[in-house]
Amino acid sequence: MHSHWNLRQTTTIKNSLSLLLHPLCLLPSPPPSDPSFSLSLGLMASMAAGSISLNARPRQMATAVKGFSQGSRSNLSFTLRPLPTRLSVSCAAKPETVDKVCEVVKKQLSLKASDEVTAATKFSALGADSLDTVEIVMGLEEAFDIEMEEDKAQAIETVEQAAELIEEILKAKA
Amino acid sequence: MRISVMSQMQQRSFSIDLPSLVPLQLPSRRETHLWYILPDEVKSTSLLNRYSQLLSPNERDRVDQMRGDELKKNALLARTLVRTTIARYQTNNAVDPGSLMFKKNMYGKPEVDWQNCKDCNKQPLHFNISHTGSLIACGVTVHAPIGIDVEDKERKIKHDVLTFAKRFYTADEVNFLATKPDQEAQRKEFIKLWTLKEAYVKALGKGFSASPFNTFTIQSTPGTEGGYSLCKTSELTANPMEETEKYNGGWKFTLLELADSHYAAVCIEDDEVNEGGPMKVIVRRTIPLVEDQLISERIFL
Repeated sequence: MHSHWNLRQTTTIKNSLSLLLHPLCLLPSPPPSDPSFSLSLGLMASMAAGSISLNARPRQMATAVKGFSQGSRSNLSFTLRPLPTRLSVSCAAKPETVDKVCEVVKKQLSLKASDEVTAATKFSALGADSLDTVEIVMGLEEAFDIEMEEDKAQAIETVEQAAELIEEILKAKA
Repeated sequence: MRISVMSQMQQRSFSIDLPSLVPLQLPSRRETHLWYILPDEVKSTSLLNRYSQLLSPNERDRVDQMRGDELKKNALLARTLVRTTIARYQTNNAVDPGSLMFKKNMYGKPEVDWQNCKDCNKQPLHFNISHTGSLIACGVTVHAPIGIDVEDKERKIKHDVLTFAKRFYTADEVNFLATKPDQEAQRKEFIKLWTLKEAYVKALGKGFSASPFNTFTIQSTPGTEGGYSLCKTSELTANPMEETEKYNGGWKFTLLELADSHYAAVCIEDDEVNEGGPMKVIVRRTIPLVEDQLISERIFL
């Protein structure tokens, strides 16, 4: 079971990084009985102290670096070290979006409600082939009232990627 | 004395001897070999364990990532089919299927990495696999890029077929589907077209974005059974057929049925030597390390 720290969706990368450093934002989602919770408290404390270790997915961190760099230098002030825990930071989509995507995926692949589908779940691991992926995309278009470009849609491999793309499109629409 | 001989014999029969892979002759330039496994026919746990030993650690990881036993088994069978089939085409010496190395081209299409395989001789082999829940297929050619796609004939589409086609296929294909008398006939033709279009994109090996489904039309070739041809829709030329003929020798398509349950589309690049010549497809059902069964040999014009 992964515990995800959900960052609030922000409008600019710069803002998201300052939120990253804000201890209050980093509320872990697992309940207090989760063994990894105590570790996260320790982490929050060290973050408040100004040094952060994050197990962020490389792709998302690359986006953050890109957005934050002024000219050729990046202004990241924290070090990235892989955490020896199952904690990971999802910088991207809102939980509600992820949940809705999971619903569409479960429906398309005729999964049971009890089958675990999370942000990190790969469609292929669920047995989805290319036809399934396209049907999932159509289902997502209907659920979110959007249109996805085909090449972007075919490149989606995980629930999270779908959710991120959807939010990108919704933002552009707004 | 007797007892020790008996125990020796017993030892031999319990040892897991690798049954030697029956070697295969390479396909000729005009041939495509199509191999398939029916997962339901492979039940033995010891056989599946044997297969597992042939996979690379990365492949085993990917099998483990699949959700549930059935998906894990099918992923295992798919890699086993590729490895054992290609290993058998080694004409000089028996190659351990576990020693084959694979890599991806710059667009992600898998291919054999001959350079890194210690005992292999480089073969001009091309392969492509496709699988559904109930059938796993591997197509092999010599000298010609190949793409295959298989689909359960009964596969249900959750969306309206015409809506789906309008979104992803070309206008010509939508019109073709619209002429079908009922929803079931439409669904069948939709699936056939899907497999053909997928097979083409996979044969091209450049990923879906290089050739979105709505940029090319596939239609059946009149006067043939199971023969299809490609028309690229292009805004650049007024005459799409002209575009096709200029294009690199062309592509050959065939559509067959496997095991009475699946459509299988095969697409190969028509090389200069073979241009316009017939394509022979040899279909075999197999259980790797156990048996082969010749199913059909057919010539497609």
